[in-house]
Amino acid sequence: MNWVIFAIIAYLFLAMQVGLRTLIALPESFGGMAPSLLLILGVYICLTARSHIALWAMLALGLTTDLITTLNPDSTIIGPAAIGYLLAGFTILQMRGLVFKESVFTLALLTFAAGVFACITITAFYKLRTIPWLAGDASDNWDTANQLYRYFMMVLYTTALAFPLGFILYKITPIFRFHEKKTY
Amino acid sequence: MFAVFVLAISSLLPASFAGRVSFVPKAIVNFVLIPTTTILHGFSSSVRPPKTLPAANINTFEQLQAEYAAATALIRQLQFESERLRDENDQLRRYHELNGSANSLHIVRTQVSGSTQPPNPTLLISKGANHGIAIGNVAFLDGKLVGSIRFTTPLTAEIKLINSQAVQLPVVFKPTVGDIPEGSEEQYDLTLNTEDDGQTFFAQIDKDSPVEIGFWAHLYDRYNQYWPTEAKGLIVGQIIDIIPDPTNPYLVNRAIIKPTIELQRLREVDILVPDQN
Repeated sequence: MNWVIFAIIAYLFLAMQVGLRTLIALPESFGGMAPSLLLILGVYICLTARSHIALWAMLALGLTTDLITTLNPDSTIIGPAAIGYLLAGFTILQMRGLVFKESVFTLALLTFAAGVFACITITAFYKLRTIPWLAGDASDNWDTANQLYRYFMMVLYTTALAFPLGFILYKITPIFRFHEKKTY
Repeated sequence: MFAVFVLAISSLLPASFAGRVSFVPKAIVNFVLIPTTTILHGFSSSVRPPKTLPAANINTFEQLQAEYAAATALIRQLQFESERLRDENDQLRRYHELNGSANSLHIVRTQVSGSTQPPNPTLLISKGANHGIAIGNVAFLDGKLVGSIRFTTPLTAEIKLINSQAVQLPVVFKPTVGDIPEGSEEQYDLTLNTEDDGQTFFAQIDKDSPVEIGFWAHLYDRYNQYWPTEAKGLIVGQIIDIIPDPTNPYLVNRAIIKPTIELQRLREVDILVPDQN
């Protein structure tokens, strides 16, 4: 895979996710979160690149997601999204042998699956942080059910956006220069 | 596996230590993002501009007449106040020239480059420590409190909005927006209303409290415990409803306060930066 192209596409997706957040975010009654465009890119990479490259890409995208996440009100925590995205990537790699990889429907469905895994992992880590003998974050500022609801709505929204973005990504596949051997 | 182990440890670090670990990569990401997100945020703000929410409805014509009379009296009062402040400003300038140095404030106006997700929304701005901005500085716009600086790099900063979790908002309620808290009023602590995803705050008030719908919540941290002196008097929001408090409906009311600006859609904010000579 061409890592320069990957970095450029990831930068554009990240800039759109942060810069256009107020335009594309869900209403407050549906959680108020913007879709995770990096997750769509990550699932696409997992479907088309080699296994170890896909996992490194998911790790990078997860780290980037951590750096723009403000679930902790006082500081930025590196790790929950990175592990969540890695877990999601591993899941996609197990499933990709069973699906049509060049289909946007596959991309969208696997985006939903990956999003669920990633968001449950992120929520679990932030919930663990409220344990006093671990990080000891204030637990009255953290509502697990509310956060799971926000994430679920965000994942649904991201799944819907995976159709148009997946179509674009599949059109520009040649510039990524994937060299994966097809195995049946 | 080693990477996963390191990330798991990093995920469970105390907040203060985790902040130091994430400082450099976060600064790099913010610095790289700012040029593009400033343009995109400006575009999204122009497509869906921030709304200034209307003042609370007053029901009767007599009340409207009273409001008009009060507004006219306020305008006259503000004119006198403006002349008085102009004289005071001249005196301070002369004092400053005579004494050489003094603690003062200056305002840094900056563009908003982007925002982050709830439940702790923040605004990214394109000015940072190089412009004198430091953690704890107050962000406001047109006299309305927006938040405080949470994170700075040399060229960028993040503002933690007032509707984030764990933000303390001690306020006093005044009937008109121009009133400056005197210090003798009763102070209330606002709590973020999680039932509407942080769009409003509430404060518990006595049943016989003179506080009414339409009163303005001014930030007033009497002992500067959570907010600096320069933040006193900034408007947090306006009371839009008063209902019986669910936990004690017979003795206590709950005043619902809503910010009058859409915090996450702002295009620019002002930062109050104290000069330390």
